Amino acid sequence: MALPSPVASPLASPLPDILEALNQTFSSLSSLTAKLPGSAIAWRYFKASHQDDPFRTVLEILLVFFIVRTYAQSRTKGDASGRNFVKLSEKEIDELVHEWTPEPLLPTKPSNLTYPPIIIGATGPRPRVVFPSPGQDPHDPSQLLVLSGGKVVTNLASTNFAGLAGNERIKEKAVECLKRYGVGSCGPSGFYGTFDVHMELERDLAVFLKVPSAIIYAHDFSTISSVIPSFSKRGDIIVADRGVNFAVQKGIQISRSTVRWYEHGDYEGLERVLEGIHKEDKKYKRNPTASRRFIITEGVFENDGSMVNLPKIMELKLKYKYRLILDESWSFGIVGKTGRGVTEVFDIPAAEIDIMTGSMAKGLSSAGGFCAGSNEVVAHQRINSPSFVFSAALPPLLAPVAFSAVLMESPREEQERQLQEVVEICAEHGVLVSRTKRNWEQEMVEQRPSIRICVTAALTRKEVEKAGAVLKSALSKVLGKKR
Amino acid sequence: MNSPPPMASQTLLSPPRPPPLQTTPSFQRQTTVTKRARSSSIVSVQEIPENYDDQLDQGALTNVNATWVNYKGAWLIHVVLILSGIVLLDIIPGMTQDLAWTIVNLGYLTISYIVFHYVTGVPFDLANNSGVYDRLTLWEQIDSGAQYTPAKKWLTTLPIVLFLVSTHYTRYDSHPALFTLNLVSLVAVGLAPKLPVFHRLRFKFFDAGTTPEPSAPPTPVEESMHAGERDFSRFTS
Repeated sequence: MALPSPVASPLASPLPDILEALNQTFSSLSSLTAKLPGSAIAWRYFKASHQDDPFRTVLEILLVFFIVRTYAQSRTKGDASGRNFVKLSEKEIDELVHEWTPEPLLPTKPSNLTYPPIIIGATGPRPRVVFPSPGQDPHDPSQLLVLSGGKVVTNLASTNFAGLAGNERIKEKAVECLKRYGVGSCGPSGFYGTFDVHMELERDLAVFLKVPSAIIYAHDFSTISSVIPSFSKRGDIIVADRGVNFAVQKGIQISRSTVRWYEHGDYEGLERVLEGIHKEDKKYKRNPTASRRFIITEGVFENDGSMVNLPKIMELKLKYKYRLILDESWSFGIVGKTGRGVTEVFDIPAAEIDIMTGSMAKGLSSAGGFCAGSNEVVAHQRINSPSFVFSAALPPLLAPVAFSAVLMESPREEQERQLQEVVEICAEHGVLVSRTKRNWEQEMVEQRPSIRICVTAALTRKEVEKAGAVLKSALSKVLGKKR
Repeated sequence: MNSPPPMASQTLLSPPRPPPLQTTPSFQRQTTVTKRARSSSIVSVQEIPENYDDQLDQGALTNVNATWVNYKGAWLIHVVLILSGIVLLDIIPGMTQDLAWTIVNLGYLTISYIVFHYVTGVPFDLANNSGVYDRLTLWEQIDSGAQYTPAKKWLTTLPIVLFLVSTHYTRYDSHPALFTLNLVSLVAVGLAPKLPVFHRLRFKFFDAGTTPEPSAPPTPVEESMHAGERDFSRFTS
């Protein structure tokens, strides 16, 4: 407020008039407010709250203003509702709709696109193949492809590593199963989709790999891409090889975990990454056990066929306390003396791999995938792995197909046949020995086939020595023949 | 964002070739992430980032942890608890009005701060959308982060009204310290964290070293696998 001017005005000051006007305004205002209902209460409240302290009253009025301001604001958009959307007027929307021309549902026919050759009949090592001429669409009804004739080729394109495609014994089994169960599994495993053959297959895979437990999936691609997110979640750390295949990449992406990559096959780089994370833990005082940590790599890489250095990975995983997720899609049933995958190549027990996934579509010429690991790892997946829970189970006829493929690769039947031969030769030479009979399905630990020799005190030394010689010659005859 | 190669109109003469293997170790490679010097600031501010995956996951399921705030019963329970607090404190012999209101005011501010602004994530293991809310407080989860929603307006108004009512029923002028304490805690604990300006911000005092994100990640950020961030251009050339 301006102070009165020091130069006294000779004219009558306007101040009294102004004061008079103010007074009148106030009195009329107060008489007006007095007429409002509840104004007396409000005034009493103000007086009581004022407590002869104008500073306090100002503060409180400010707070009331803050409430009023808050209520006057209009709601903003949330995080999930596309805050960055451009607000368009009705006219602009109409214009955009008018301008829009739909894309064709099918791509326009490309001129120089070549279609892949078509195998006639079932695939195998030497299938008959028809090659569409360049630009010829085999699906075009106006120029149908002639499927007779064709050319017999040496097939290096199908994933038929063990040569089991078209195997008569497997075919018989599949037909038998088809007659018994029908084609589809009619539901996810948790909803009537589980058949006895599925459970048998799971058990056989576990026994074959010498791991406590296994679980089968309906599709090999969705195996690893579902197994990773069922264990690794947001906030967990994944250290992965940069060369992993697309299914693994998808799994890593879906898991929402923090990913650190190391160069493909660069195990020193892996160690540097692990060491770096270890140093960060110390630097930022993070509890290393608060998040789950995984190393993810492939047994044989889909992208370049190189094999993982498993002993080095195992060493690092134990040193830095990580779990290993190993994708054996391109190595199970393919590498190793008996097809058990890279663990057999490097002579590392498969049970030491925390989570191992494999494909039955590649090595076993069937379909689907599996995950092998401890009982806990498998039990967790039965209710937590989306692709196991939500997709229909493997068609039952494919399970014994994979099952018999496993058996065929397993040396057990072959070993038993050889031992039986030894027993028969011994019997011919007058020595009675017996092959150990086992209930393989119910054995808790996988035993090796054997011959049981019960030496008795009632025989003389000479007789026992003679029997021993017979047995020895029979063994060398049968097993020597094999070599 | 780099646009993916046009699939339909353009045919490739040869299959796309993978990028050449990089032989330099990852820590020596040039990245766009600049190394931040270790700061010695008194207060460090960090924003909780959000990405496309988070938005997808947040939209996937209803966040049961935050929806209850919008129920009318949940609005009423604040008033009921405050009133019962006052009644219970008044029963105690020798309790003065000023002290009782101060305890209720501070108590309400403290409890609501813990519930709405201190605890992050989804406690009680409800459906938590694979941990998408792990780093967000309840206030940031309410109405999926929208500001000035009815629930947020109500929760902002309540501590102010409580304070105004308490000043009315007490003679704080004989205890200026109590008045100051109530007002300062109202502004600092009750109102400031609710301001939209501080949405998704974390303040740390004398604690610059313990930020959960490292200043210089060994793996560049752009190499993390988020949809829409991948560079397809190198495959087409």
